[in-house]
Amino acid sequence: MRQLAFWEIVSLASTALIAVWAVLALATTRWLLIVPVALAFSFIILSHRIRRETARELGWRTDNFWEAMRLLALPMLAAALLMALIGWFMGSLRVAMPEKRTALLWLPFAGMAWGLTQQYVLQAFFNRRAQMVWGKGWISVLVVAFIFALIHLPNWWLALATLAGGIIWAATYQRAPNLLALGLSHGIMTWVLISTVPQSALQSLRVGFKYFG
Amino acid sequence: MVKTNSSTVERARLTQLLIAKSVIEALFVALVAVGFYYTTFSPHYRGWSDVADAKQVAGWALNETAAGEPVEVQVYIDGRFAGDALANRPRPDVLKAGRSTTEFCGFQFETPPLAAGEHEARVYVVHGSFGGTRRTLQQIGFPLRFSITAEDARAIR
Repeated sequence: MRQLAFWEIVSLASTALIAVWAVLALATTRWLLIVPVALAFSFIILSHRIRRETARELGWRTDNFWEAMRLLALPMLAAALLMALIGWFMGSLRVAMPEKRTALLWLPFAGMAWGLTQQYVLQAFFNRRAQMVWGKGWISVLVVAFIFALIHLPNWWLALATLAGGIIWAATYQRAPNLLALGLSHGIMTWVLISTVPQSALQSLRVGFKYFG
Repeated sequence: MVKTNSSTVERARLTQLLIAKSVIEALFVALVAVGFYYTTFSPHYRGWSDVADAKQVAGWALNETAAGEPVEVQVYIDGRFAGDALANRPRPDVLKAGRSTTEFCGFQFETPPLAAGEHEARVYVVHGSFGGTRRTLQQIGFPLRFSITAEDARAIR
């Protein structure tokens, strides 16, 4: 089962890379992205069912929310301060706000939902499979972070940020598996990132082939 | 014993899942690639580069699905852009040969001043794809190699 967990990691990482490099580059319409996304989520859910993983085991729970938030607080604060310093030195410090005021009502929720979705895939699938192969600890944490960063290439700023974020989130998940806390942290840190790092460096958070145009 | 059987079943099901996903993914990527090739390098563009020498690069090109609309062609000599025009010159020979439904599908470019020696001309049909967001240079015919003598080079200057 360890070997299979390794191939599960390879398979899902391939799907993500196919989506951002092949589909975005070659497909006549972006709607075709639905295919790899649906395939990936079907695969994840079926894998959970075959391995008999419960929602609680995956991190869909509330009892350890504050424990996870406590673990995240210090690294989040340090990362936010570092990004604020970068923004201050580069003159790109601002409060990122949507152009339309009405977006203020739903954009924070959309940001959290997007963060939660990414954390679910990253932790409940990649992290758990990595732990099956390499056990708890730095190796599995680094594997998760490297996969997360790899998907964000060739956007180097974003790859660097996701590598750092990936380490913090994966290490937290191994100690207190709570997806809600991680999703919240992801949403907040994304907002801090776009409020500090220059837009020219972030390239509107574009990744894969889309990064080029 | 029950645990071993259960583990074997899980392993078998996971293996099947991985194989099924890989097959679906491979088919999907193949379909996307074929769709991309068909859209980007349309089989409906036809043409030929007939002549390339010290004076001109000429040939014909058309879009079979819209033969009445002249297509844009570009010529590159030694890999450098050398000209851009519409293929709308009369070519009754192409019509007579049944390769086109219109005779106005020819193009002719004056060869720019070149140094004496061997050169290569490539002609491309230019067309939009992906709703006009991309422009494709689709080569017609084969690259034509030609020589410029020292006399030709002097005469052109």
